[in-house]
Amino acid sequence: MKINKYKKGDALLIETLKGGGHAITSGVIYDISKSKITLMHNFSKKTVVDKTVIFIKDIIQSEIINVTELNSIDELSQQKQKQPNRNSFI
Amino acid sequence: MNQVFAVQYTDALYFKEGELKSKRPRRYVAIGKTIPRENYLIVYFSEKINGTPLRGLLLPKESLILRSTSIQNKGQDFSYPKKNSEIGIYWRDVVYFENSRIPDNPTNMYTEGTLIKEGGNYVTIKWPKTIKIKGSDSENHPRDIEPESCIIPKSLINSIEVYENK
Repeated sequence: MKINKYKKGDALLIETLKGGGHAITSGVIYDISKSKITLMHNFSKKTVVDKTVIFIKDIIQSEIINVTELNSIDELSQQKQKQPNRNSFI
Repeated sequence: MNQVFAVQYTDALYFKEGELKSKRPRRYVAIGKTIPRENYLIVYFSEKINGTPLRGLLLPKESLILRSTSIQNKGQDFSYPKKNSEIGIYWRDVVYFENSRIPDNPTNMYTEGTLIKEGGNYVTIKWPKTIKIKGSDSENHPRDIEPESCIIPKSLINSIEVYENK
């Protein structure tokens, strides 16, 4: 898994397989090293409230994502309407 | 792939003796996918492969800091008593969840203490006693510190009771 393309501040979606757990985690890179990536999810200025440490060896795939600032609740309803019907791709 | 949002919100703050430095509630940012409900928003940081949220927050809608709505005006209409009055405040709190244990609603809270400041959008309570209200049960909060003061954003407040008006 090549992680040298990522840097602090990048927003990532990471899929992991660890033990019996298969999960997808999103967040902003708070720290990155050769062996692990720390994603932060909840913060206030310089205080990180919630974060996740992900070991590189557990990563199946990852991608940089765009994070949209939520400006109104209506945006969430619009996102629901925009999601494609999966059956249209069969 | 569902959109990932950055959601700004406010929350109550507790301070140990001598720590009351901030004079305003903090602005937090939660990053994750969202599930809107009638009175609150779920923001989740991780999910199972089938899409079930694993870990995240329940944010009361009144806690959200949004440019386009006036949700945060709630709580401005109460008649607050004078400084040093003894009051009780019913309010709703942000809830953290993990292991897919998503609560049905944000936690109902009750804080009692001395009103020492009523700011534009928050109140400051000295020597607060706070409990989480869970049906007929209650639980002290926070459990790890005895706060000297707390700041509660007015937008989270449902009602107040004045026990001793100064």
